[in-house]
Amino acid sequence: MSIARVDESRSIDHLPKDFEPYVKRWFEDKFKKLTPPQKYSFELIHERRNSLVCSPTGSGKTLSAFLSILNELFLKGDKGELEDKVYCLYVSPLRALGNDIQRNLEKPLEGIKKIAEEMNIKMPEVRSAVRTGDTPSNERQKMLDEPPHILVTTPETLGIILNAPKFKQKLKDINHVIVDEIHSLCDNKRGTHLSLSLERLQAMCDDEFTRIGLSATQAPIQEIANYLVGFENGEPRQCDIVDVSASKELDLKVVSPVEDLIHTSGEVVNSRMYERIDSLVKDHVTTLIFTNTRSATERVVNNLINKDPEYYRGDIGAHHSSMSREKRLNVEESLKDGELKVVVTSTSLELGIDIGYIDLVLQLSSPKGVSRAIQRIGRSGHRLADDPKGRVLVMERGDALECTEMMRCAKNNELDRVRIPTNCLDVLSQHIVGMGCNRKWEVEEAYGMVRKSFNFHKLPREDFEKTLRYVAGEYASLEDQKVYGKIWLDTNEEGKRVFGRRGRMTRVIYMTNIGTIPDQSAYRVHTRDGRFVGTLDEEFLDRLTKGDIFIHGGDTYEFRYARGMKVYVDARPDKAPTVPSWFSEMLPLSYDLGTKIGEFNEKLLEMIENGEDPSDWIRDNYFLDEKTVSSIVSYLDEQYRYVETVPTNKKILVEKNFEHDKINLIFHTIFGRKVNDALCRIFADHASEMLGTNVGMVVDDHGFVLILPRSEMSVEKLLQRVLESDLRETLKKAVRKTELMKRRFRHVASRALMILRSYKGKKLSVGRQQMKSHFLLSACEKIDEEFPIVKETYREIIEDYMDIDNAIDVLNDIEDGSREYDVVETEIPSPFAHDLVIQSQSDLLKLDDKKRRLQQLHHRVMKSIEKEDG
Amino acid sequence: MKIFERFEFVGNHPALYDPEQKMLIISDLHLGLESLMADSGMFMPRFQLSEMKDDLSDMLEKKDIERVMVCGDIKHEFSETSHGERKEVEEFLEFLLDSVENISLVKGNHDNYLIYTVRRYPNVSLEEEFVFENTAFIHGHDKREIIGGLDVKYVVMGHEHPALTLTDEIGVKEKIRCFLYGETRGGTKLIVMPAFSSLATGSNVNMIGDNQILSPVLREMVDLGEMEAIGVDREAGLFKFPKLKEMKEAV
Repeated sequence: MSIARVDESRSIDHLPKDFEPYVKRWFEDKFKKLTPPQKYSFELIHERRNSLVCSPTGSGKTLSAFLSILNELFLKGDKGELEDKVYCLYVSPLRALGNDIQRNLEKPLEGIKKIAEEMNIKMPEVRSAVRTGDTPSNERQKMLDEPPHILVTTPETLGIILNAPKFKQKLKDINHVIVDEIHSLCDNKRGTHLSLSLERLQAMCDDEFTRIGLSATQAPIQEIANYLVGFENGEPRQCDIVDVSASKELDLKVVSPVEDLIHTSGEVVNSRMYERIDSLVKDHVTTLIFTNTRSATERVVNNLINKDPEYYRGDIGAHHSSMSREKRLNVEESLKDGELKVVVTSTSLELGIDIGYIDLVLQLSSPKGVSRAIQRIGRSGHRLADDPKGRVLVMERGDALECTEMMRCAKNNELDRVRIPTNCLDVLSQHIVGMGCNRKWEVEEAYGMVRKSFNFHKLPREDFEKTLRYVAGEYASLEDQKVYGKIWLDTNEEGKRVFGRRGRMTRVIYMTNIGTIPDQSAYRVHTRDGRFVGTLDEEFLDRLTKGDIFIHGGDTYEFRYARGMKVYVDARPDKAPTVPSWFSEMLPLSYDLGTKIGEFNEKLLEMIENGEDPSDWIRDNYFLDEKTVSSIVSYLDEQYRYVETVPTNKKILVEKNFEHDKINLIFHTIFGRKVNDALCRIFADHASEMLGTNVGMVVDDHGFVLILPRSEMSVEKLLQRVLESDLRETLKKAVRKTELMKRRFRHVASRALMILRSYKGKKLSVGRQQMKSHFLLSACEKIDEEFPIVKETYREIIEDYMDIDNAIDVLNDIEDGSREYDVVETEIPSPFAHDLVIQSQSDLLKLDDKKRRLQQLHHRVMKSIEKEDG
Repeated sequence: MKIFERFEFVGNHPALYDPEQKMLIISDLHLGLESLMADSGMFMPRFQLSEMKDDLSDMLEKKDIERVMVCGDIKHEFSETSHGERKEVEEFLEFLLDSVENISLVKGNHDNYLIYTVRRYPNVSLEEEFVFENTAFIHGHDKREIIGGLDVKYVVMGHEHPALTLTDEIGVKEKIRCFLYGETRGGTKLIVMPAFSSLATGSNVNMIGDNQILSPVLREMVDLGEMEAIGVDREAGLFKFPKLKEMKEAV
């Protein structure tokens, strides 16, 4: 296989011999030695090897890539071969690129120039430029007149540049493509889009360019490398992997604010937590605090200031994605200059940007994944080759349990694996339009090119054909095709099938609707007496039903109804929220980590069953403070004493919990929300058919609940039904009946350019898009159940949003007996179920038979009227 | 089941049949909605008309129909008739004229410029309102004086697209379009037709306040709570519900 790790013998201690003397001088003046990634990357890039460089952020990998490129360009210049065209393309997922580029590219360039002058060497002039969606047209024109040698851009802008009639000519001789922060792209559709863009670029270039990927710690590394380089002649292209991610030792500990997380009042837990944060901050020079949500970020800042105004005021900053760019830049700068003692952030400081000296990272609540934990904690101890130091503060026992295993994995570099999406037909549609706008393509040639991308390598011919026919508008009647079709599809005189652009509007449609991030609309929230409260995102709105109480901006409201883009609420200051406000922002626990927590439980269960006290064993093998040790032991112990078992990786616990006229069927499955979501809907669909009713559902990382009307329900029979069914088909059927399907369909249709966000100079509001998109969905289904946009919606939901593959594995294990299950009946839910049952429903599944559904509802109305009359 | 002992249902369709006049009554077709949407960047393939034709064929087989009455909003676009709509309207009229003698179109608030399409067909008439015997047909977007008229005992209208929203114990919501019927304050018998178009969204007459009701007829001339509802769903059939005020109280 041509994708292989580089072995240690390739490591060097100085810049390669044939680097320009002034480049070497500059580097040696500035840095004492090569950082671990640089020991490999300089040489590899110099030798034009495709490489994936994995190392913690701040280990100098961006600089190493740029420095090698600059050196190549100087060498070219010396030979008089440096022309006015782009030689290197640098793609970064960060939108605010400017700062980073200045630091890693422009500053070094200035420094090198100075050294060259001192050495009396005439250095060739090398230009760089940044091009994003915000670049004004006069600057774009300048780039055309005098193209930069190094072009810095984002994945979305690359998609546009590929279709810029004149500028794309300047890209034909690209030698190097650098993809930065590749780990944040490869597991989503932005990355899928980029992958096809790179193949389109390759098809335009005369020679094969060298691909350099820069990544933080991530697994599976071979696959990510393959994603970077794609395929040629059906084989993966060559790629050398430099993995120096484990080069730093982590100093970690899980910390609880109080001895007893369950019986101490929330108020006390809270105030102890701030005392703990306060003392940790005061013991360190600069602390970076990660919360899991934006609202928590603001809360922590305010509480710390209230606690000790003199100490914190002016020395604390917040940094999250809803803040304006200027405010964020300010905080970044002050942090870098050592002017702040604390910065509180959600996810926005996870990536990129050098943030200076930080000696402690504090994580509040579980970060939900090993890679994310390493990434966040790795933000400390940067500059001084210090080892990173992280403390995780847990507030709930479930959280403590999660972090216990997570910290052990982080320490041992046992990473959770990312999943790279494949065969995304919406992204493909967009690119087919783009390709058609550029030139005429033979269908065969286009299919071959698309399959060079890792994401489309196994794309079935039939899916490609259907997508092509969709883009050509062949689903509409012949006379409508000029309205619906964006390309024409024809057979030429040689009998070959070809396609190209149809109509003048098409190019404009492509350029103004490109991208993969859906319009996440902000709904405006008003009280019913007309006061404006703020905005809500639709994902959160989807979880609300009439009467739900939720927190917004610190106040409590009751949800009444939504009309168009407006949400109406009543202020309810005295009520407790029924919907956790963080839900929509919540990161899912990874499956890999979930199964490890299950293994931990198993070990502990064994000890409890043998009458041993597991405290010592936990203390010796994990990184916890005393309070957390006792929290965890008591958590498992209580669960065991209540139902005589604890859910483990090998044994699923099903709890039949009776409540008034309902049964809550609680499944303790610690597999993370993506797997649990899939399992939940599969079970719900069968339960609905068995009982002939609708089913309510709750899903979280540690399990799921089916809410059923009280009735005879045999878990064994339900499970039997599930195991006998086609799981993938059942899940699709279950998904079809939910709100999720409608929303995701709109996103997919919008990426596939069936619903245009921007058309004829007008913007279509999300509300309008959403209102009619369920009709569009049924219209598409009527045309063909396998209609590309419908097919992709299902795929996105069951493979990306959920995790059908691992869900199927779990069920197969139950079938062959390698995983068991226990059923218990409870009046009060068991301790492990408490987090689940306090949540509101995640979604609802409708009974298949509409007639029966309506009959039941009709009956319900009539019965309640009779009751009143009687 | 009949409304006012006279108007019959036709299968599970959102339509009524008046045997005395051999008349089929439908309302709110909103033809051409798809091409309008395509024009605003939402490329929905056309499917309404072909579905409608299937439904109409079914009804033409079931009943002896001489006249088809449409209570307004034959087409969707407010302003000039777009090309797509005009073609759809023509196709619709020609399809019906193969089987029935007369078509009466009440002019709805969406039906401006419709006359330029309709005048080519001698057996199709377009009016603000029609009165046959003791029964008036209006759209309902403004108050027709005719409602209080001496000879008029029955009024049939459209415009509102009435629907009921029902919720079960778990929280599942279901929307079903419905007929409304009852008496106006002046004692005229009134029927509100559900939309025939499957693309038209309905107003939830059992959930919303009176001030959110579209039609001034229903807002001002009727005590809405006193109206009764019959739900209709092409798949699931007909469901007779009590008065709206009782349903509101029950929820």
